[in-house]
Amino acid sequence: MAFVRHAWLGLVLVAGTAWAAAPFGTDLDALLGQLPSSATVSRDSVMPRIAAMGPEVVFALAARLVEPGKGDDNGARWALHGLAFFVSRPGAEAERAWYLEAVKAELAKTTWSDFNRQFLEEQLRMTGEVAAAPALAPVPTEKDIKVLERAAASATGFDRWERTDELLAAARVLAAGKRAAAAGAIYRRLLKARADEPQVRCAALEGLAAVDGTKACPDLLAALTGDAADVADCAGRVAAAAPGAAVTAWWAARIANARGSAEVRTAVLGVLAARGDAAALPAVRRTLKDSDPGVRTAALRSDAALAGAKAVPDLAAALGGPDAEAARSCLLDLPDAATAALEGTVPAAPPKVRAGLLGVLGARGSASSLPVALAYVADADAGVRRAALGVVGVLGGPDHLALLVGRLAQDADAREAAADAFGLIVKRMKDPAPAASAVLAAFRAVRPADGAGSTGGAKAALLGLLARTGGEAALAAEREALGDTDATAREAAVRALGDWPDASPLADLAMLAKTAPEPVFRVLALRGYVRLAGEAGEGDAVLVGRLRDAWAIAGRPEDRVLVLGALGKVTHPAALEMALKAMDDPAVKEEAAAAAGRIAGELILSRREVARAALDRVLAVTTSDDVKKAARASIDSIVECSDYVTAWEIAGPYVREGLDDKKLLETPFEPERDPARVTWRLLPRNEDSDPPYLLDLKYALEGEHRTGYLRTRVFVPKKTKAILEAGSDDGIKVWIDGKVVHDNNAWRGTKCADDKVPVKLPKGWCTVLVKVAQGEGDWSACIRFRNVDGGPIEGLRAEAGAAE
Amino acid sequence: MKRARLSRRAFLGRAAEAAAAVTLFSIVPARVVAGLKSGRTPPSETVTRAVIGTGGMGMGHIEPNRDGEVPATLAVCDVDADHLAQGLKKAGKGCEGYHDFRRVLERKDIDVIHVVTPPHWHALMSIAAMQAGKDVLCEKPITRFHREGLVMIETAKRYGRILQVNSYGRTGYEKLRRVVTSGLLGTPLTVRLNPNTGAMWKVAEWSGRTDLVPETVPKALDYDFWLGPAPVKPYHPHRVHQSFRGYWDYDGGGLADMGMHWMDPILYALGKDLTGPSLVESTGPWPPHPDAAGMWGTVTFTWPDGTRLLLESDEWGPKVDKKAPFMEGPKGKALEREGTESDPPGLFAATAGVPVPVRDRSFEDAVKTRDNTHTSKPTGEEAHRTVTHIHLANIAIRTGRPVRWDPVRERVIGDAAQDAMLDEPMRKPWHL
Repeated sequence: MAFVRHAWLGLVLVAGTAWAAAPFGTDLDALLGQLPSSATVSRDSVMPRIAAMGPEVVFALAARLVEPGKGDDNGARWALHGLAFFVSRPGAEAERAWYLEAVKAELAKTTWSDFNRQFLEEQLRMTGEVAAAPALAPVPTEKDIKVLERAAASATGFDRWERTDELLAAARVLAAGKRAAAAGAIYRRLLKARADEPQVRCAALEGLAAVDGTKACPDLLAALTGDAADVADCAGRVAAAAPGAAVTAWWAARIANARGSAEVRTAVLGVLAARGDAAALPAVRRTLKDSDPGVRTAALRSDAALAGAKAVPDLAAALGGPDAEAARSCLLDLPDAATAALEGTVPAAPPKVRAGLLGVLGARGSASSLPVALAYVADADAGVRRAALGVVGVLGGPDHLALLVGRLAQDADAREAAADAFGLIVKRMKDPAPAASAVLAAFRAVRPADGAGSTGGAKAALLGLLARTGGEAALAAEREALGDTDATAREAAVRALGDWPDASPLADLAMLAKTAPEPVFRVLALRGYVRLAGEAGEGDAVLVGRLRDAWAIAGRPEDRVLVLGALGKVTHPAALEMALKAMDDPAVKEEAAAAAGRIAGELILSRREVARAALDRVLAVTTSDDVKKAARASIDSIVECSDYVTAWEIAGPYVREGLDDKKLLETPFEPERDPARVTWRLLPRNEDSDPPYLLDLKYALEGEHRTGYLRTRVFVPKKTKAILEAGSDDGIKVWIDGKVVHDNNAWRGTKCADDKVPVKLPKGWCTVLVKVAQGEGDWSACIRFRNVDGGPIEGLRAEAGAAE
Repeated sequence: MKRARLSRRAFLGRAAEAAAAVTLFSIVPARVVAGLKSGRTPPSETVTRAVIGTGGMGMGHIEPNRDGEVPATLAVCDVDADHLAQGLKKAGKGCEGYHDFRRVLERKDIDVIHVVTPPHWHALMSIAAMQAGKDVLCEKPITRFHREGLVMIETAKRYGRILQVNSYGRTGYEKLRRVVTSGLLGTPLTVRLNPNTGAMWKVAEWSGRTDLVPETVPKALDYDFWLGPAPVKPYHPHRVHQSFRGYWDYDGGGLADMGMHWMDPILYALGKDLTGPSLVESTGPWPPHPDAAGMWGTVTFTWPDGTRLLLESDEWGPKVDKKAPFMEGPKGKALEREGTESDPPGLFAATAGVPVPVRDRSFEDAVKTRDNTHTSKPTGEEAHRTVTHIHLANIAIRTGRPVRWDPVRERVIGDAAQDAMLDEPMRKPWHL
């Protein structure tokens, strides 16, 4: 069959363009109409059917090619392109042969335009038919080298580097042609003549190391510790990669007998580590006792790099000495294969080293280390027990909870470690109820003999554990323990309520803070109440209410300071008002002023006037230089922002699957459609914003490929023709009272006043809605209104929110 | 939002704790030894830069020079006069405009070149910049075809230059890497990148058109220079500015546009960022258009250890299974990329101590310290490895058959046509 096809192809080639009107007609049209094939069936059948038409189909398809814009020839292009891939599949050599011959026959025609010739040539390439690789460059002669060197030296500008690259390439050819000395001479001349071009020195050093072996090492050492950072970097890499035992020996000799400065020894150890040649190990290990700590650290790292798991004894020994941190770091870096060696070293190690090794095993996280650790949870040494419990926390599961509860009840010295391990396992459990049950069972079983001195200690520890599990049963146990006869247990219950994982004990804590007979309990309860209130996520307004309650309970100045500390973190006008009032309390006026200053600083964008007045009052009251400095900086920001609209509410982010920022800007979300149903919040201030009036959506909403909305109401005393000046990163859309006044779907960074748009502001209040799209990177905007002359608009003010 | 930057000292401390791979410079950075103790002149505090390409993306990367500060953006360059004008306007005082990137490279006062052109120029400009002694931040995808990456890496190494790619980066993916490294999910792992797991592929958006009717080249655009190494094809506005992504001659569709963003941090998290898969399979319509990148449904990368990375466009073929987790192994699941939710819960907290290489060094810091390790952005070599996945996926999509890959030799196994697609010709006088 192949013979017949080739014979037939010969006729075709003679016939030239006779095949332009190929005889496939509607069959071919029907097949081309199915391209590209989406369905698996047609995908697997269309191209074989076209290919089955043989080489003549290439001519028929080529005949359908037209010039760009002169008709739709996509079917033919798809088919010729698909055929190129189809016939080049492994095992289709015969089909590929006729396809190539047919396309080449087409290309032999002189009538093709450049466009279509290029297309046909590309199809040849898609079959894997590539032009024969040029013969290897000939080894340059002395004369060639002189010409190249002269050209590289005399060229200027961009040409200089192209000629230099050619010279370097020629040197590599020389080196490959066993003319290393000539190549080395080129590199040395370049090092000397181009000393002010670090990149050329780097290339020359690389070449020199390849051809000169140990003779290049002094140059590399000089560069490694020389004055050009980038050349030093190259020298280190090149020294690490240069092959040969002699090269390793040369570098190893640099650290023998503490030769050279500590800096040089450190650098050389780095080179030896990176070379990975274990022949350097004896020299490296001799420096493990070096007098310089930096050299010892480098030696440990080099030992680890060169010996791998076999470095474990050296590194483990160092865990017991002054280089413990470096040794631990090296042990953590060792490959997985070293874990068994590490585990095997534990039994014979002295306690300090054993504890260190267990710590390393926990951090390495191999499941095989769990049984090793379990063997030491009751070790005679407390440090070892703590380390072993740490491993159980990382690698253990619910099955180990009872063990941990038991250790916690029995082992006062390792109680905290057992509790931490328990907490880690609980965090990994979908439902912590079984964990709580285990603790409650142990709690009920506590007997005097179980405790380390008293039942109170064990009970207290178990009550603390319940704070890690949470849950109703656990909470009930804590409440019950508040009436325990043992004061230690009662105190533990109060502490546990304050550490509870959710806000459910808030009422208990408030009651305790008010009524507990023991002053210590009242203080602990208040602390817990303030902490849980802050984490309850009930919104700023509710939080301020709770802090007001706490303030009323707080009897001592220290307690009121605690409340003020929490208050200062709340960005809400009511929080500011409360802090300002607290400034009247002489015992805490400094702390109140600090809190007020912080809150006002956060509100300078959204409540400019209120914040300014508060800051003035803070300055009048405080004696703290730091608080004064921060208040003045906030006032400066207010002044700098005075021209810009900075009081905004924000909503978002809004994301829709499959839409990028460009499309998101054009897609209406709820703030455009039904703003009343949107949860708006004050735009938070990013203290790092530069300029301060930059509206930082990334700070508020985070993320990429999304959009967000800003809303404010603007007041002018009379109907005003204004210029809206806007900058944005990325696209921006602006509405005034629901009407689009500006739409710039740009990809850009924020530059204030990039856009200047004439707008009309109605008398009184109007609502300004701004939508800003986020592609990648920063996400921000800045907005202001100016009069048509470019000056400020008299009487204009803005408040976060919507106009009535 | 401004990111807090680590001091060099703090970083070294952290790197020493966390470095997983022992390299020369995580052991003893020679420049630090010399710089701190031998009186070496510290690098300039101001890294000066030029931005080549000031279209949509380039404009976003121009840092305006501020009054009263030493200008850092010294040059902008574009072959479209309108783009150049807007770039100059944004950069402000102290910045000069250029039409020919080679003239920018001749300026000795510029430290860094940010290549923000379409991808068919990335390799040539980056290589030329590194030969000229500049450090390079290149936009993604780092290359248009595979061999460009090999030459870029070789050039960066030979000339001792910092080369990074400005994809979303790896910072923040340490938690995921810790969970993977810990083995708590079990092996082999399957990872899904689809719109439901936060990866949008923009396949339709960045598909080319097959009905282009030639138009007159705008006066502001030097179309021949814009094409550069790409074959000459009649001008149409859809070929240039943003929508160039839809044409094989300049880019590789939504897969190439978004692939580095989505895949690079995942390859880091999997610890497979300096190797490659052994098998790449795809689904989608076939054959592809010779000029316009088009639709695809799925791409599956498989490694010899059984790990699978599944890209699902959700724009062709069966819809994405929204219940399928982002990452799963036989023992557990990571439910999202940020490292907070897992099944069973608490896996991220439990593995917080697992040592992994922390990736938070900025490009600018790498330039100043010459330390190109622990970078937030992928280095040139890492980016090349990531983009190789994309090139292989597009080869599978275009040829309609799986690609068997040798990640050590970086060659296709058993398919000469696919192997030949690793390299492509360039229009003279441009060449690698």
